[in-house]
Amino acid sequence: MSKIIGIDLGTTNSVVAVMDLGVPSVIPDAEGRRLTPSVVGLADPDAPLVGVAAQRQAAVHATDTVASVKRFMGRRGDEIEGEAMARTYTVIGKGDAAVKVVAGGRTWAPEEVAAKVLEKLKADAERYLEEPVSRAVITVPAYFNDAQRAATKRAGELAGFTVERIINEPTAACLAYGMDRMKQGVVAVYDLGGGTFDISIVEIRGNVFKVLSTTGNTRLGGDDFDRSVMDWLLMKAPDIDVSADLEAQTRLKEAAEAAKCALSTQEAFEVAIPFLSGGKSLNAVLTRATFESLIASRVDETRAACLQALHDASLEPEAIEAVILVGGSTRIPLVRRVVAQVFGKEPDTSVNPDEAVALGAGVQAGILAGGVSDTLLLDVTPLSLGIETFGGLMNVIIPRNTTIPTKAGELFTTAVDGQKAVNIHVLQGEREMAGDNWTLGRFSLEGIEAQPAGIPRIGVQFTIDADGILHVLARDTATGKEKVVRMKAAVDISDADVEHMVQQAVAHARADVQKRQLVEAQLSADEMLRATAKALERYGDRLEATERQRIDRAWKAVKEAIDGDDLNGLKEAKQALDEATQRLADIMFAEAVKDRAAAKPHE
Amino acid sequence: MKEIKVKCLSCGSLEGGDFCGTCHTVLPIEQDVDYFRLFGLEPRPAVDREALKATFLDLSQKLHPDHNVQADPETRVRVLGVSAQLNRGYTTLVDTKERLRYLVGKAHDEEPAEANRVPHEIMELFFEVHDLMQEVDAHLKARKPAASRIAAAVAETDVDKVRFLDAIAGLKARTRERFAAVEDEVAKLDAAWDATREGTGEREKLVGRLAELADVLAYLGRLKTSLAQKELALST
Repeated sequence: MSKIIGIDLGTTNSVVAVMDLGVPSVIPDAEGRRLTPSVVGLADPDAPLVGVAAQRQAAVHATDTVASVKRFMGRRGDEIEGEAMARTYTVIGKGDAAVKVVAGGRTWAPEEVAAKVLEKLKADAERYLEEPVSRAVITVPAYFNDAQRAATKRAGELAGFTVERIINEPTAACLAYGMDRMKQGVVAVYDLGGGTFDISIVEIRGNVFKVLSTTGNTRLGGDDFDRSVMDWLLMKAPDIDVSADLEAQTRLKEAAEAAKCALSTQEAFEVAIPFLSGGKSLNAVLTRATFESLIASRVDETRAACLQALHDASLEPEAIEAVILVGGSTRIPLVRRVVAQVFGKEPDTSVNPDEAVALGAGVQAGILAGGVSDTLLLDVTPLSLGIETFGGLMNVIIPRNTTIPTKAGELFTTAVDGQKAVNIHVLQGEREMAGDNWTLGRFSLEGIEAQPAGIPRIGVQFTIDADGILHVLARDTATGKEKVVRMKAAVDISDADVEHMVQQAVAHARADVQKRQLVEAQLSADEMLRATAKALERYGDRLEATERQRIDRAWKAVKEAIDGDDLNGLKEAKQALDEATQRLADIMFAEAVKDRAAAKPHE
Repeated sequence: MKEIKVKCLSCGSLEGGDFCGTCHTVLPIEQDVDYFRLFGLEPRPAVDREALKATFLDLSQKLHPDHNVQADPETRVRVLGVSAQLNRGYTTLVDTKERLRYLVGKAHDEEPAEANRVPHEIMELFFEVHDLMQEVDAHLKARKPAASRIAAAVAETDVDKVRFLDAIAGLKARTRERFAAVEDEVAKLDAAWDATREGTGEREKLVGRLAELADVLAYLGRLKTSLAQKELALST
């Protein structure tokens, strides 16, 4: 039988690994590169370019070069509204319809584009191993829902793989970490990549890895930080307009990314983009402090997720023996500080954040191939699963963080006399109302014997297999009539619908964004002025005189800019005030932590 | 470990344990298998959690689908079912509330109803938490999301917020004390378990008290969750 390879299909980069003599190792491409950028050039749909080759022509073929397609895998139109990701290609899909990508004169399902990346990795592995490879373990963010998992599996199949297993990225990373570092204990895996964030709490006991809880955000990562830097750069160059210049947008994104990466080791970075657009060049110096203020609120979002994961595992932060950092964005010093603060200890940076997930996938591939028979992974389902019942409520059948595989069932009944069919609406999510959760599918069980309401007994059984994919069985216990359903990925749409949606997408792009932005900036500026005044009143005496003066100056500048209609001027003034108040905010956060520690009862 | 005798589907011989000793296939577990027996335990109020976990991990090593990928399709289907039972069984027995409900269900031959009345013994705690939650909700409702770090810092040091977090920490500690008290009582009842015989009034009285304790745990669990949720909502 052929070898099984492990693939980390990342938002920004993908990596492939294989078990070799009991140790997982990364497979390099023909040029010796260990990371393949998850970028696909579709200018010629019949000869797609993948990785570095696609990146090289990205500026020239901006609309036909697809990066970060993972963000759209298994998603529906209404989920991507307000998606602030920086991208130069068009995506379409409204309401319930599956999102599609437009490139190279046609539309693509996101999994088709991802399949191109997987095909390249497959070819690299075959060249390296000198044998055909047709079996793979592919990783997904732990917080991916059922549709996103199914889309990933489909991408693997389109690339010619038998997908032996879909596994969770943080769990895979933990497997790679624990193999030689830990024999017993509880670890937290903090995984912040290009587009997604996961936090998992895992108990390691000998060779068994048992996930205790997991949570995350499938729309938070390095891409968002790039976007923030891009906005800042444009604010610094108000005379440059790139809104209609896709090549300039691509170059701007590259510069933003370079600045972000450099600031992990440097205190300041000089951005210089000659002749960016309309013959004008962009020059600006971004300091680490400014960069951190740009991304602080997004990084803070991960704090809440960490606390949630700890609560779900019934653990206090002290119980965590090591915090493992995975994903390129964990190189950012601010991210490391936030992690250290939440868990009360310095994170463990001994694994390579770019490769750990692929290596773990390689280990799991080895387990499935039978070569690593004593290692076992017990994973959980990240989101609750259930069905809609009376009053539009979600009835949970399998709660989140249940160890998989699992089976669970419940009995339901009819609501109306003589009812002959029941509609079963399968849901995934944590909200109380059915409508607020993700719809995995709807089906109806017919041929129920006509009886008064409340008499028929309909058993609904959910099975989650080891891939984390759901199978549903409904059975009328009186007649024995049953229906087995495997939840499918988001619905397909017809070509005519696609055409219609392309036109609509173009029409909507002309909305007066500018005006809305000004109003939003004015509101938040007003809030900042009040907050700063309050902060100075309480903690102003802790500041040096020069700091105090700087804040006062910046405060006045915002106050003056707030009633005008110069959006850029207002943004600059706000940014200056934000930077000036960083240390004051730090003082207050530290004070709050101290208060809380004092309030905590000692046990 | 207590033996479970089942007929092997593959070769028909009667076997104990999880594997057929004759042909080495995974044996099926019946749908409503007794979770205590699954882990080789006597049904009783308390379990040794560490020993239970060790047994669970040991059985999982043998019976997880990942370690049976090369098996024939029929065995694989069986493995999925057995593995799901193991996972459910472990989750049920390791958690005191779930374990007590399961034990009571076995004694009464039907699953006990979900707790829907606040047990008298934690009424006072319940109302204190309830009142605080309402205050916190009002506070959260009036609060706007901070758009800048300085605004977040001001919110962080808000007097009400600090007071609420203190109150929550206090109630969390009291909830933990109640949890510990229930565990202590379960341990005492477990010691008395062997002195009573099935079908006697004494045993029935004991089971009745276990049912009450399961309800107390259910409510304590809810209190713990709402305290944690409000704490999280306040902190972020």
